Formats: sequence, structure tokens, C-alpha cells
Amino acid sequence: MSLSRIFDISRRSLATYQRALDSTAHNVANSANADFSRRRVVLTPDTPEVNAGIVWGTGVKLVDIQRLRDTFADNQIRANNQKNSDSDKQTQLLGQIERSFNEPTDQGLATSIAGFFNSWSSLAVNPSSIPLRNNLLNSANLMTAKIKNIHDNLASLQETIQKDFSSITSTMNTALKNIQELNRQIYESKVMGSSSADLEDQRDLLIDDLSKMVNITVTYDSGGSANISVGGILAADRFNSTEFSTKVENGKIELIGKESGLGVSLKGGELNAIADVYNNKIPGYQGKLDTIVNAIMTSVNSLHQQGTDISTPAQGGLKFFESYEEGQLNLNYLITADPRRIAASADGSAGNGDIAVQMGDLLNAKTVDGASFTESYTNLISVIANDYKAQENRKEASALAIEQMQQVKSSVSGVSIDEEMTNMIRYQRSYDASAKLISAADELLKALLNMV
Amino acid sequence: MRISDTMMSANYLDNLSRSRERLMNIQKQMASQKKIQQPSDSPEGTARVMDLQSKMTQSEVHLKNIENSITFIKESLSNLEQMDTKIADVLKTITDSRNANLNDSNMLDLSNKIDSVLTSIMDYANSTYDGKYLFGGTDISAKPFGMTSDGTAVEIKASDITGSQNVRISENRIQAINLPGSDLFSTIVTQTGNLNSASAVGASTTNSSQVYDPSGNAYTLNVTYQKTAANTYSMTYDVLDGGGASIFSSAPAAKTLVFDSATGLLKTMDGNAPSKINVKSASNKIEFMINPVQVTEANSASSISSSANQKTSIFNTLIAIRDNLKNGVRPTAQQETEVQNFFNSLLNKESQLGNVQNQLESVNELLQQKTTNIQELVANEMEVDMPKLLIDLQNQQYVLDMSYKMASMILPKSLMDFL
Repeated sequence: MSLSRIFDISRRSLATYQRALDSTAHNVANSANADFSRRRVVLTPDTPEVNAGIVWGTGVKLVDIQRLRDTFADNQIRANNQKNSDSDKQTQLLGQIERSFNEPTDQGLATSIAGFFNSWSSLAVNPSSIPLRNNLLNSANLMTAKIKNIHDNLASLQETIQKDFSSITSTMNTALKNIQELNRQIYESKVMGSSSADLEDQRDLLIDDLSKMVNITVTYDSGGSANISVGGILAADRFNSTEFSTKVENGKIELIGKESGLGVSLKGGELNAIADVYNNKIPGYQGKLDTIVNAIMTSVNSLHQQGTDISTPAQGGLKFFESYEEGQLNLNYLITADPRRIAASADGSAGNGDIAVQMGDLLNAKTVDGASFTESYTNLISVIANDYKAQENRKEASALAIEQMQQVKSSVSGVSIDEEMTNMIRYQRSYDASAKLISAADELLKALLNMV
Repeated sequence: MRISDTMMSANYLDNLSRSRERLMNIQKQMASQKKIQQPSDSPEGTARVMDLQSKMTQSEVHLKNIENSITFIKESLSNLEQMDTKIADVLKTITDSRNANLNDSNMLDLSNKIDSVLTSIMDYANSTYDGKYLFGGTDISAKPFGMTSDGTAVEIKASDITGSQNVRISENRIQAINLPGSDLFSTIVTQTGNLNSASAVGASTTNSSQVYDPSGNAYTLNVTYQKTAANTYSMTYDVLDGGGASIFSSAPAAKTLVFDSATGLLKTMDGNAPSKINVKSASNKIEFMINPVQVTEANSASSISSSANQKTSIFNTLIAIRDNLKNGVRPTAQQETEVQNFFNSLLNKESQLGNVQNQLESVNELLQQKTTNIQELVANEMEVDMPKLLIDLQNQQYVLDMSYKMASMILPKSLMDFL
């Protein structure tokens, strides 16, 4: 064995530990980056040489810088991301819906409905009183304004979330395009034998973000490309990315493939939350409110038509409410123009208030599927509140699962300064020792040369 | 398990965030003084609160209705009391008129006294409260009582003074708060007895009785019930003068009476709730009411009888007494009885209205108690327990401070600090 071998082994060793220190520096630099996957250098003894029947070691070599990642944790996080962002978005939207109803306060519709029927009861005390009739009209106007306000708030929310849906779709399209581009770059890096770890980090971050928007399935091919499908439609691979768009038809919002026109089966993520609230929840709540309002209109009109007013001569057969359309409960214009046209009398005399008494009694009548108007309305509020609560519970459960899986992921991929410092010392000491070897070999060489 | 630095910071931040969220919830409750700010804070609590609030607003309206009704009744009672004082004066005047030593001038004085009472009674009978005639039933279009065009008698000017003004005073109770003028001032011929449910269709029963004009002239009232179908009868009536001629130029419209087949009670009259029938003939100054409400249907021979509460109204009795005294004629025993009967009727109605007032006051107390209870229940559901909240706040603040302290001690530490 020649002295020059010591130089060779030491030189390679210096280079190897320098690269190992580089890797440690990269890890330390990204220690605060939550999306970073730590790198681990893999060192093995270099290929030995056989000389004179003896196997001679040739030092150390760096065979790989591994990107440490737990695929199971990744999949679990993405699956729970879909649930969590779905529930989180639904919680936000249901919170807005809940606030539209303004309950349980004196400014809510429940108080207005009770106020309207109580005004009838008050009118019965002096049925011919114009001030009391005006009070009744005011309470009717207040109730109709509240109904309209709720309708408008829900309609406005639907309009807003439709834009939100389109905006998320657009972000999703950009993410899919970037994923496809990163897939291509990762493949090329691998082919060229260079590290693609940072590109993979970027891509996985995009996939994580995508999983918050929509339900996705991710598979990896042998070339390291991530193949993404969205609701059963291939959305991105190394070669292509699919563009999606928003379709609104018959009051339903849908995510479709831009070119194919095929509908996506939404099951998770923010888009599913928006679609569910847009397609089911808002129309459902509005439908229930409409049922109550229609029942109020029908009951009040039916009774009002049986009564007579205090005009001269007394007239009857008039509807109190004209119509209910698009959240607008319209009072009969003849009544709003002249409160004497309110029919409170059952026998044609102006001092009779029996119809007014019966109107007041409607508040407790079981008119809507065996429930009173206020009971039915309270049920609606309870349904909304429970829907919110259910989503909040789902959100908390999935957040807990994400938190746990993030710990698992971080345990594998996260940087530990303690570990990096230990490695740094280890690599530094090896580097120092290799340098010392060169120095020793140099001394040996010098000794030999001095002998000449 | 391998512990990375991000694990420690993420774990710390998660716990810190939860702690701050709890703190924020307590602060929100303290600021708003409400446990429930959104229905989702407590869906069950919200439903209870909304139900209670609805009941409370209803109770408040009932309380207001009672308050107004009591005022109306007090006003009615006050007028009745004034009337009974005046009628007591009339009875004294009648007693005074028995004095054999009275001369024409004395008689004229007594006549003037009666005239003054008549005017007062008319005023009381026509008095109003809050735009309504106290004794005008439910007709507010005209004064209930006024002189006939020739000024010789008092007649009912309103189309109907029988109406009851009903007001809801509690969830389960509607109360009539007025005393219909007809109960005091009208002549009511009440029909009693039964019609034979087994009789054939077409069979009829007639009841005859006497009614009087203000001058005391007698007329015959014939009321006929003719069976038209099972449980159904056509009721017709006619009033005949001394010569046997009808006072109506055309026969009054027949009424259709339907009896309940199970109870035999009168169920409807012309499809509506049974009521008294106004009979009036301006030319004869005949004015009275037929009350068929007590007639029943039974499986026994038809037998209808009738009775009247008075021959003529108190106004016309007083007019007759006044005019007699003016002409030196003393009031008759019959007239004195009529006045006495009216006096008794007044006391009776005062007692009835007094009872209604007492009942309203009782319901008022119950409702106030109910409202207080509801308010307490709402407060339990909605309002925060401040001492508990303050302790919770302090506790959470302490936990948060501890977290900060621990974080400041532990988070920055790593091997680097010791190299």
C-alpha cells in the first residue's frame, strides 16, 4: 500500500464530511420551516480494493441524501384535511346563517311573529281604535321586514359563496398546474441523478393545500410523480393537468371538468362545504321558513276573510296578506292605505273584536305540521344550531386527528436542533480527523524524503 | 419517539391557542352578560329561551289587556252606581208622590225631578270610554239610546246593543268585558221549553205572549216553530195589534234553528251561534227582543212558554211617570214595580261586573307571577353567573401565564446552548 492512498482516502473523507455538514446546515436553516422534510446523509464504506490477496478499505462515500417522509402520515393528514376544511368552512358559513336569524334576541323573527299576533289580541280590547289598528300594521310590517331580511341575507350569502366556489376552483386549477410542472421537474431531476427533495417538498405542500379544497386521491408512480384525481377525475400527473370550472344550474352549484363537462363527486374539502350549504342547507332553511310564512299567510287570510272591517258600510272577504314571493310577504294595499279595512269583527259591528281574538289565538294554534308558528320557527333555529354544532364537533375531531398525525409526520420529517448539533460535531470531528490523517501522511512523506 | 423542534412549538401553540380560546369565551360572556350569544352556543337552551320569550310576550299582552279591561269595567261600574243612586231617587219620589196632601205644584216638582233623572239616566246609558259606548254592545256607529222622532218615547238608536266585547286575558280564557245595553234596558221575551224531536217534518208549535208599546198598549207576539228536517226548525214570529192585524208590512224573515241531536241544545241560528232577535216597529214604537237560546229539542210533546223581563224600558216607564205626575196622576203600583225591578237589575249587574273585575284582578296576579317565573327561567338560561365567571377567568389567566412562563423557559433550549 502506498502513502498516496492515505491522501486519497482522506481527501474523499474531507469531501464527504463537508457534504454531510452541508446537509446539516440545510436542515438547521430549515428548522423553523414546518413544511420542510429533513435530509439524512447515508454514508457507506467505499468499494474496497484487493491487492496482493489482501482487501484494502478505500474510505467512506456518501451514497444518498434521503428526504425523510412518512407516507402513511401524509395520507392521513390529507384525508383529515378534507374533513377538517369541509367542517371548518361549513362552520363559518353556518355561523353566518345563524347570525342572519338574529336569535335569541328581541330583534329576532320569533319576537316579531309573537308581536304580530299579540297586536291582534290587543286590538280586541278596542277593535274600533285606529291607533291600535296602526300598531297592528306596524307589527305586521316589522314581521314582514324581518322575513325579507332573513331571505335577503341567505340569498346574499348564496351569491357570495358562489363567488368563493369559483375562486377556490381557480386556485385549485393553479395548484394542479403547478403540481404537474413539479412532477415533470422531479422526474427530470431523478433521471439526471440530482436531488429532487426540495421539489418534492414544494409539491407535497401543494398537495396538502389541494386536499383542503377538495376530495383528492394521490398515488405515486415509479418515476416519483404524484398522480392526483379529484372526485374520480384524473386531475394531474407528470404530463397533464385538468382544469375545472363552476356550473350553476337550477339553483345547484357543481364542480365540472372544464373540457369534459363531467361533474365531480364532491365529498370533502371547502368546495364540498360550499356546495352542501349552497345546494342543500340554505334552500332547506329557506324552505322551512317559507312553509311557516305561508302557513301564517293562509291562516291569517282565511280568518280575515271571515271578518268585517269598520268602514262604512262594513265590508268583509278581504285578504290580509296579498302574496308571499321571494321572501316578501306583501300586505294587502287596501289595508295599508286604510287601517279601517282590518277585519276584526265577527258580526259586522265595529265594536266586535272576536276575529281579532281568534287571530291572537293563532299564535298558539298547531298550524304547521302539528306545531305552532313560533314552535316551528324555534325548531328551524334548533336545526341550524345543531347543524353548526355537528360541524364544529366534526371539525374538532378531524383537527385532533390532524394534530396527532402532524406530530407523527414531524417526528419523522421535522428538524431536531439537538440532533443536528450532534451530527455537526460528529461530522466536524470526522473532518478534523481526516485532515489530521493528511497531516500525518505528510509527516510520513517528509520523513521518507529526509532519508534521501 | 423522536422529538423535533417543530413538534414542540406546534404542540405549545396548539395548547396556547386552546387556552386563549377558553379565555376569549369567558371574556365574551362577561362583556355581553349572556351565556347564549348564538343558538349554537346551546341549541337546547336557545329553544327553551325562545319558547319562554314567546310565552312572556304573550303574558305581557294579556296583562295589558286585563289592565285596559279593568279600566273599562271600572268606568261601567261607576256609571251603574250613578244610575242606581238616581233610580233610588226615583223610588223615593214615587213614595213622596203617595202623599195625599200634594198639590199640583208639588206634583209638577216631582215630575221635574223624574225628568232630571231621566236625562241623567240617558246620559249614563250613552256614556263612552275610549271611543266606545259603555252600554252600546259592539255597535259604535250611533248613540245607543235616543228619543223617538215625536219625542214621546226613548228607542234604541244603535242597530244592535246585544254584542259582547270579548278579550283574551290568558292563554285559556276569553272574557266579555262589557255589559250589553240590552241586558239592562231592553225588553227580552225569553222562550223556554222543548220541541218534540219525534214529531214529523211539517209539524209546528206556536207560543203566544203579550208585548207592550211605551204607552202600555198590549200586542200579541206569536212565535211559531215548524220542523223542516231532523233537528231543524223554521222559526217565524209576528206581532198583532189589538185588532188582530200584523204590525209588519211584510212578514219578518224566518230563522233556521238547528239543535244538537245528542244534547238537544240549540246549536246554530241561521248557521251562526244562537243569539237574541231584535224586533222593532217604528210606527208602533214596539221594541223588544226574542231570546230563543233556551229552547231545547227533546223526545216529548212540544211545550213552549215565554216570559218578559219588563213591559217596557226604564226610560219609557220614567217618561210615563213624569207625564202622569205633570198631569197630577200618581205613579201606578205596576210602574213602581218596574222601577224597583230595574233598580234590582242594576244592583245585580253591578255585582256581576264587580265579580268580573275581581276575576280579572286575580288573573292579573297570576299572570304577573307567571311573568316573573318566566323571567327567572330566561335569566337562568341566558344570564351569566358573574362570580363563577370571574373565578374561571382568573383560573384561565393563571393557566395562560404559566404556559407563557414555561414556553419562555423551555422552547429556546437546545444542545446549542451548551456547546
